[in-house]
Amino acid sequence: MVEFQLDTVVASGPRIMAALGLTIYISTVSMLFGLAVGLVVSLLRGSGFQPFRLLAVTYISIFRGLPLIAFLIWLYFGVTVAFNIQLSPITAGIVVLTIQSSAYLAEIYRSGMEAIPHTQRQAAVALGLSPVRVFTDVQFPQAVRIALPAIGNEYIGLVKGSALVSVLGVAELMRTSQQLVQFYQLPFEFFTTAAVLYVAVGVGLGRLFRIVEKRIRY
Amino acid sequence: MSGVVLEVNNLHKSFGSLHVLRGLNLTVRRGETVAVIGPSGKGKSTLLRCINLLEQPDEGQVIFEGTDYVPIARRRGLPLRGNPQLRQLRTHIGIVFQQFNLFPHKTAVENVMLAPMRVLGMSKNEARERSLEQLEHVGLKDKVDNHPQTLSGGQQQRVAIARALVMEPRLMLFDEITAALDPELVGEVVEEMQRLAEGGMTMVVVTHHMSFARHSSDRILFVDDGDIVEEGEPDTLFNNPKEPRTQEFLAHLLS
Ligand SMILES: Nc1ncnc2c1ncn2[C@@H]1O[C@H](COP(=O)(O)OP(=O)(O)OP(=O)(O)O)[C@@H](O)[C@H]1O
Ligand SMILES: [Mg+2]
Repeated sequence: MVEFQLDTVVASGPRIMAALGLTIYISTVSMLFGLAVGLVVSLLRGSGFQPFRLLAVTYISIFRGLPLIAFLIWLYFGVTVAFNIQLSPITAGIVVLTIQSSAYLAEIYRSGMEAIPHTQRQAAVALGLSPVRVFTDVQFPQAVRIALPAIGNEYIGLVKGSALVSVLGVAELMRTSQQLVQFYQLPFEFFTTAAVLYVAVGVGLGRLFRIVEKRIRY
Repeated sequence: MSGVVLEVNNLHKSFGSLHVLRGLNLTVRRGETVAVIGPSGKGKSTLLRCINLLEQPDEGQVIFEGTDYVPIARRRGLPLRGNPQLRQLRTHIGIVFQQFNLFPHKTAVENVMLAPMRVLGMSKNEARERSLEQLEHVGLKDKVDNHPQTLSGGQQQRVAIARALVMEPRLMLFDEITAALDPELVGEVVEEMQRLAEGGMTMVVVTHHMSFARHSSDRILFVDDGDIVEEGEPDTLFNNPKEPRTQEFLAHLLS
C-alpha cells in the first residue's frame, strides 16, 4: 500500500469543509420541510374525510417507493423541460429530499400517534378540549417523544441521501470529493475522507438525538 | 322538575350485536350521591360514557339541566368530539376513570391546568393558582411538579380528581376509581369522594367499594344486563334486597 497523502487532504480542508457544510445544509433544510410536510400528510391520513385519506396514502405510497436517484433525475432533467421550469440543482435536491422524507415522516408520526393509548384522547375529550387542542396538547407531544428515535434515523438517512444530489452537479461532499479525486488522482484519500465525514455526522446526530431524548423523557 | 340535574330516559346502546344498555332510566337530583353497583361487563361504564356523550346513545334521552343532548350528538356533520355544544356539556360534567388517564408528559399541576387554560381560556397564572388550590385540597401540595409516573396510584387518582374538579363541574362521574389501586391506597381516594359527597357535589359513582356505597351514598342502583334491576336507599337495598339478582349479587360479595 502506498502512503496516505494526508497533507493533500488537509490542504483541501477548506473546500471539503464547505462541501460538508452544503451537505448538512441540504439535509437539514429538507428535514425541517419534511417534518412540516410530513405532519400535514399524516394529519390528512388520519382525517375523517375519505378523499384526504386517499390522497395521503397515495402520496406516501408513491414517494416511499420511488428511488431517490430516479426521482432526482426525473425532476431535474425531465419535469423542468416538460413544464419549462427553472430550478437550481440545490433547490431540486431539497425538493426531492423533502418530499421523500415527508412520506417517511408521515408514517413515523402515525406510528407515534398509534402508540398512544386511546384513553388519552378520551380523557382530553372528556375535559372539553377541542379536537385541535387534543392533538396539539395531548397527542402530538407524546407522539413526538415516541417517534424521536425514528425521526433521528430519518435525519441521518437524509444526510446520506443527499450524496445522490451530486448527480445534479451540486458541490456537496460527494461531488466535491469526486472533483478532488480527479484533480489530485488520490481516490483512496479523498473517498476515505468523505466516508469518515459522513459517518462522523451520523454519529454526531445520533448523539444529539440521544441527548434530546433524555432531555424530554418523562 | 326543579332540582333535577340529570335525567336519563330509555337509554339504549349496542356495540355491534351486543345490546349493552337496554332502556335504562335514571334521575339524579342536585346534591345527590348515587352509587351504581353490579356485576362486571354489564354496562356501568357505558352508562357513564353515555352521560357525557363520549359514547353516542342509540336511543333515548340524556337530559342535563333541561337539555337533551342525544339529538345534539346525533346531528349530522358534526363528529362526536368536535361538537361545541357537547364540549360545553363536558365542561360541566367531570369524569374520573379507573385507569387515571393522566397525561404522562405533563406534571401534576400541568395536568390540572390544561382544561382551565385551553377550554375556559383562563390565563396561565390563574389556571395555575386554581390548580394548586385543587391539588392542595386533595392533599398533594408537595407533589405538584411530579410527573404521573413518579406518583403512586392513589396520588395519580387524586390528581385526576383535582383535574376534574378544577372545572367546577355540576355533576361528577366516577368509574370504579379505586379498582386499579393497591388495597392500602383505596382509602385515600375514597376519602376524596366522601369529602365531595358531604360538600354537596352531585355525583354518580360506579363502584365495587361497598362500604362507600353503603355509607356515603344517598341511593344505590343495582345495574345488571343493561338496566337498573333495583334501586333504593343504602340500608334498604343492603338489608332487604327485593330482586333475586340483587340478593345473589350481594350474597356473592359477602361470601
Ligand atoms: N367500545 C366498545 N366496543 C365494543 N364493545 C364494548 C365497548 N365498550 C364496552 N363494550 C362491551 O360492552 C359491555 C359493557 O361494558 P362496560 O364497560 O360498560 O361494563 P361495566 O359494567 O363497566 O364492566 P366493569 O365492571 O368490568 O367495568 C362489555 O361486554 C364490553 O365488552
Ligand atoms: Mg367499567
